[in-house]
Amino acid sequence: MSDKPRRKVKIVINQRNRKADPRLLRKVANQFPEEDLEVHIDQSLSEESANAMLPDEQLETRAKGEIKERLDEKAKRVAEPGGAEPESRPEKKGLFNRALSMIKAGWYVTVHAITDAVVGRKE
Amino acid sequence: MDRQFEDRITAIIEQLPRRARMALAARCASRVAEWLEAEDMKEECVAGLQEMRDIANFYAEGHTSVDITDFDAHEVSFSIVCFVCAYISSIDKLEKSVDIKLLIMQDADHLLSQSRANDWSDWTPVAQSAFPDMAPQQLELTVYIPPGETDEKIIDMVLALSEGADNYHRGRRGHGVKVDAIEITSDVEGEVAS
Repeated sequence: MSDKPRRKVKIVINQRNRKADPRLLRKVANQFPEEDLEVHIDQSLSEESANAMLPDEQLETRAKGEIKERLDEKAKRVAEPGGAEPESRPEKKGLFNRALSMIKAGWYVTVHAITDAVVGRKE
Repeated sequence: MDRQFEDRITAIIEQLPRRARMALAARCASRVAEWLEAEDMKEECVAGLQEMRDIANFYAEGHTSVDITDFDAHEVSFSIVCFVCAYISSIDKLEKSVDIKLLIMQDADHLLSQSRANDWSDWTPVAQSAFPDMAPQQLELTVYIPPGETDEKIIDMVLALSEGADNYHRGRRGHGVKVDAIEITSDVEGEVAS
């Protein structure tokens, strides 16, 4: 028996440039292997047990800090004169494969694309 | 075919004034085209839907043509909506996604409310601005982590996901993403899964 609890992490992602083509966000969302998600979501994480979960504030603070630092540093590096990274398409399905490997390891990811006025959620 | 979805949307369409139906057809075509484009589907599929969208929009906004009667245009638009609904239901990936059907139902409900509140007639022009903004403004990724994983591994994986999204976005000529919020919750102490 494990002495470590189950955890749930929710990450809210926005585009850096709000005026950028929002279809890019849709493309990011579509990188996650949807057909596996519906099969493998931990059924024991019912609404009741999910509501019983408590915030892990220490880990939350640490995660926020590390993500912000990494992404902000990269944005700053790219913005510097001569600092732009070469334009290239990412490895095809790189994010897809990352998500798939997480699923195989027992971590399950759901993705919701949220609009300002209309909310679409996977049941 | 998702019969329930088809029946529900047909019921709404029947209550809409004619030009509003055309506006809904254009909106449906736009939504499906957006999804297909995001799935990197063949350009001709997307272009076909966009063309249908433009035709439907043309009549929705009150324009007329000497080559086609308004009645014919109404029938064309109605066919477009039915085609789009059937198309949505037939594509495996979209069929499994509640998002797009839910969004289309919400579009239809919204338009019906607008038409009643503003007392639209069959000839009231309806522009796409009658609908709320369509495009996603943010993503929420929820990761369910089984027991036994260390904090370090969780941080690494969360970083990998965020950076992966950023790389993908930049690789598609975007300016990258930012993480606006993170929520981490854990099982109540003493109720650990085995």
